[in-house]
Amino acid sequence: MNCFEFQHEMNRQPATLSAAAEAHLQHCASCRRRLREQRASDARLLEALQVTPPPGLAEQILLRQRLQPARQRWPGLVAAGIALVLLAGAWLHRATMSDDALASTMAAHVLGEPALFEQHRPPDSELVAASIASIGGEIKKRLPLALATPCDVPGGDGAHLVFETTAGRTVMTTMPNHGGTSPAIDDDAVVSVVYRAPRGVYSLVARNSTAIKLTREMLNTRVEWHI
Amino acid sequence: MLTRRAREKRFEAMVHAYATDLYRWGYSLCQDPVLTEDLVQETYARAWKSLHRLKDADAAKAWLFTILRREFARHCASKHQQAVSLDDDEWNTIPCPRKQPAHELNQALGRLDEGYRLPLVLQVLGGFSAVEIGEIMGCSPDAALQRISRARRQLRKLLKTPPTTALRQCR
Repeated sequence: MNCFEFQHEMNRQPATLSAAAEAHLQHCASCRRRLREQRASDARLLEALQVTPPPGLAEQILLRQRLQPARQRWPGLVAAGIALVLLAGAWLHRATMSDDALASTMAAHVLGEPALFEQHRPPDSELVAASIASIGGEIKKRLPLALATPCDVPGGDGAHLVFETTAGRTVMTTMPNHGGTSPAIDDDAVVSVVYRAPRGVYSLVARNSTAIKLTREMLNTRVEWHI
Repeated sequence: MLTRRAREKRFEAMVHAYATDLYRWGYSLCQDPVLTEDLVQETYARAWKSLHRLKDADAAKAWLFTILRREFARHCASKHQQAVSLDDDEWNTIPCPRKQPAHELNQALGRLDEGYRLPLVLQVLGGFSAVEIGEIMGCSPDAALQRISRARRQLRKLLKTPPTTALRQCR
């Protein structure tokens, strides 16, 4: 091993040198000095990096982990089971779910997906057009969308269309197979309104009522509803 | 497939073995103790959810360091209201304010270019090989080595000059 090779190895893995590198050190004072200097420098650096974690950090991490639900052992089966329950639920839902429940369900559902309020992705125009068409609308002018994503809403075939307004984002959820309307949910954290569409309903969920109002106005001017 | 109990035992071992180093790694990224704690918590939360993907227990430390680096990048991206679909290279260039550390050597370290500083920290603090550093940083082992060499040179130089800025780049 020559000095160049030694230095390369010292740079790659300074803590553990190979037998060849150790042998090189035996007869090369220059490399011995370099190694000594680098190890001293690393020791000082390591000392500088020794910040003390807050007490109980590990316990907090473990506590948080214990509060999380177990990962399902048979995710496929469980998913299939959930899908069946949802299908049955969706069927029952149309007949039994109160109008109030739909608005709060949609609020909880949308808030449970924080990405809807954060992400920005060019929407799939086909999905957007199909979603609006599914509830009896036709887009006449481009919609100010931040995101569009399919969603397994009650009754199926739904989608989230996320609009940017000057008052913040509004998440529209189309539910072509759902009937009925719902009184608005309006509290400090969220506003959720369900509107009847020519086919099915759609919900608007936002952080404030101004965003809902702006979105509703925008939809009424840019979408033609075929009643 | 591991049972819940086996997963818990494995996870617990990972927490006790690496939480401190992970905290120090997080702190070297952001120099903010509160944010660091959040990053470590979030890293372990993600690790717990994805534990079934960790096939090689020996790779756990590098895996956790990688998750934390991504968490920090995500934090910087959201802080700057950037799209969250950024890839690694884009994340690496988002500027993120960092507090200036007090210790003289830490100060010099904080003034290093991020691309050089972090591989050096990974080598010194984590004891990682060039291959592991490359994986964590999303570059080749050779590039990692080159950055470490430059970091050492820059550090020597910086220790002879006074600090000028506290704004760094996330990486």
